[in-house]
Amino acid sequence: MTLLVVSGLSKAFGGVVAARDVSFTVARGELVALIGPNGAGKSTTFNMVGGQLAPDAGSVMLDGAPITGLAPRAIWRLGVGRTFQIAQAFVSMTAAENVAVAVQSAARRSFGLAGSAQREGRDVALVLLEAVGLTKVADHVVATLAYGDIKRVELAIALAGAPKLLLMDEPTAGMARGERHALMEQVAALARTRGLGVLFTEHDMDAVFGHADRVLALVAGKIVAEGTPAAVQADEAVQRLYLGASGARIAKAAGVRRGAP
Amino acid sequence: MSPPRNAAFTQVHPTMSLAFVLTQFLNGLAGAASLFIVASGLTIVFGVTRIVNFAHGSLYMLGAYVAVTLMAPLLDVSRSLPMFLLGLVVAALVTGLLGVAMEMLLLRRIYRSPELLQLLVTFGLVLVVQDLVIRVWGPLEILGPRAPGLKGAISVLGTPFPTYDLFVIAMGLAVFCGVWLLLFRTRFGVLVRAATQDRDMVAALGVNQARLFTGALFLGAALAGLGGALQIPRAAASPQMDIAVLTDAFVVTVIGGMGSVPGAALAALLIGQLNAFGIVVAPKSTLVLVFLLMAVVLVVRPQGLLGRPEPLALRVVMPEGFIGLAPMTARGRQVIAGVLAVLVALPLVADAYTLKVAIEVYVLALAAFALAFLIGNGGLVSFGHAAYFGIGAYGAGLAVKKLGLGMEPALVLAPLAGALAAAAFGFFIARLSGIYLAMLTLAVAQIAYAAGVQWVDVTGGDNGIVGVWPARWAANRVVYYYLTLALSAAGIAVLTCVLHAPFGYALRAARDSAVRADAIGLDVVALRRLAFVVAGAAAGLAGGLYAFSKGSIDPTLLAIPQSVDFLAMLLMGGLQHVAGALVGAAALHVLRDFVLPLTDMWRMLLGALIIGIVLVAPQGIVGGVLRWAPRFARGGPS
Repeated sequence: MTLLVVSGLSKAFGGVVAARDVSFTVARGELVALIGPNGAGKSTTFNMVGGQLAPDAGSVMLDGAPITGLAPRAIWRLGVGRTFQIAQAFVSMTAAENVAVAVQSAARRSFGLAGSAQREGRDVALVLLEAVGLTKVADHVVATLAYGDIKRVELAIALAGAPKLLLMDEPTAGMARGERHALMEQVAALARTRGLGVLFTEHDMDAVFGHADRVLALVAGKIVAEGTPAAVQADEAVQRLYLGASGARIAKAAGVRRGAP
Repeated sequence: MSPPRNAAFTQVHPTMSLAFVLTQFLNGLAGAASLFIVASGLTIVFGVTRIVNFAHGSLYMLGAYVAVTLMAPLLDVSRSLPMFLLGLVVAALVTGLLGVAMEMLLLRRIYRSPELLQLLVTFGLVLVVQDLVIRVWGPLEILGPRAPGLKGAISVLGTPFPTYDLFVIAMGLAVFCGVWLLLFRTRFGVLVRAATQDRDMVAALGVNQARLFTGALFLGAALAGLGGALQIPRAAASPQMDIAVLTDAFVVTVIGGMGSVPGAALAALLIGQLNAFGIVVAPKSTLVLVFLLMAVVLVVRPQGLLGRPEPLALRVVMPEGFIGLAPMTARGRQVIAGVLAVLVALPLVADAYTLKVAIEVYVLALAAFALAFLIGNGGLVSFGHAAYFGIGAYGAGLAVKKLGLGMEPALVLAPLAGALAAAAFGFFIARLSGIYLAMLTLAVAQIAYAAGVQWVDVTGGDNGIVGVWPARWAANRVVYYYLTLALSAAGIAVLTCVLHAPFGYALRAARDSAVRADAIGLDVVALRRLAFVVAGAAAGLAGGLYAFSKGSIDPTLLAIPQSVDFLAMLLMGGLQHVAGALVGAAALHVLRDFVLPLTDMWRMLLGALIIGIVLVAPQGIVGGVLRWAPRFARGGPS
């Protein structure tokens, strides 16, 4: 069964249609990129899948069960972890505590009035932090970390519920160039080894064409092209409407690198 | 029982004559007009500056006093309506200028401060102005002159209706039209509306913000002053009128939607009529009706009737509150053991008076710690903490006086009463966030206060409950000292455990980022409800202990000044450290005990202290010690 099936999602804010009849799927172990210019409706689509926004029409199915319009916390319990465009972490806590809080939530321990939140779930948290390459700063307060590292903390938090689907809204925004590639490699590895479906939005064309299995191009709330990175980058409508000349060039370069051993 | 009103009511009620309905309707309109004039100023200032100005009530009071002072000489010149109107206008302008001074000297420095500190600064100003007014005009009420040409009453279908109230209705309408024209037909109005919608964008467009903010304060303060001045022919100017009108104005702005002038008008109309006809239905609980309306509106439409919802806060900023909870170190244990040893040994050396003060400090420390649990760890700015403290005290007192129970079961009932009240109030409060949450905590605390004053049969009204004494074995002051120390320390220890438990962390997680907490399966509202229950239980226990230490209870335990005391303790001790509340409770109470016999200006001192701490040392005593101690240890600042 396909992991995520989105069909006919629509959302309007006042008179502005942010998403119109958006349909796509994500399979286990697959990385799907959602691209499009600013205001194309990427975050709106994301928030409707993650539960932050209720759609006006359409449905979202996870593993065959409808999750349309459920609260984010309910959707998380059904196996959807997400990161935000502007990193959302618990800034007053250490990286390990951030992840431990999510681990405790997954174990339904968050209303526990006794016990130590610093120790409970710490072992699991450290394993997740290692997976995203943050072992060294596990005991640093998140507020003192570099923005790129905070985004990794968020990724570790999102993984704490052992999700089937990962939603990442601009996972590499605000990161240095080298860091971006490393992060996307890690995400891709996680997807393959854990059979995790990943849906991400991205402005960085390297990340999109270097790592996605499939690309969806969204313009003015509508999906205008869909397919393999090669197919989408060859799509004239996409090139003209969205990528422009320079985007097309980068896309081509990324495609070449992807083909190299 | 209020005989005149009830008598009139029983006479008229059988038929509910048209004349009666019409006069009540006009009464409602007059009330609405007064409410709107004050509340529109509050809502404009909030819209532009994003500061909820507690001192708005003080400006209203100053407007009334300025008018009372001006009217006598003005009416001496010529006893005419134009002179009266001139007096109103001058009072409004003078108050407007006071608002400008307030903006330029004080508010300007705190626009970027956390909400809690902004609220505290403006409340500090309330305290300062209260004492200043008493200094200048004396503690007694001052009756204003009647308005020439507007004395007497006109007949509405045979029922007399005061002419002056018709004038107030007309003024309300005139102010509404004036403000509407100003907001929608002038450049200043465009900027005010733009700033209300998006302050950052207005700043980015190169608008002179300083001038805009000063202008908004002038307008808001002038409206407050006009509101106050308009009241003087109807009610005497008194040093207590600030808090009373403040609560009313808050309720109007919150129901109408903070920042929305049409919302304030709509809410004022609703409340005016609710008051006018509520008297017919429930003569003694109009206040409760109004707050119920507010609770219902906030639950159905948290942003108020015509307000806009605050955009989802996605900015990552360090919250004001506990930063990291380090596990207990050996050094920390030593400090705690040392302090406890000193406190246990205290009765050996201290006299009876010192022990009395110490008992009060422990009780207040427990209650303040419970508040720190809410604010510092949960980010839930409660402006009504006294409610749970007071309800705990009343719970214990009523258990003794009405149920005939002993001290021990009463001290079990006190935290239960606090927890129960917190569960009921918290159910509604926890659905909100930010400034709306703070306003609702204040409002529900006012309901508790109103019940304490008005529900005379049970609470004894203003006289309260007397003769709440400890059990015989604990009647000795030294024994009661140890009992208080043990129970307060135990309460604080339990709360500390909860802070470190998964619940404490989940609550803090929801404070740091509610969006993130929601996205990892945390039910933020449920977490906050439980937080209120936990804090309410602890505050209730403190209230019970306090009742037995004093032997009597009165409604001041439930009142706003008591809530502000708790907040001032947190502020003084420091909000970012767990120990801040305890140090602050001790420091503030000892200071008050020392200063109170020396001066009758304690309120002014407290207000100045609050303002001073926010401006100069917002990290408080504990924050200051922690910042400087390591440097001294290294041999002074380098």
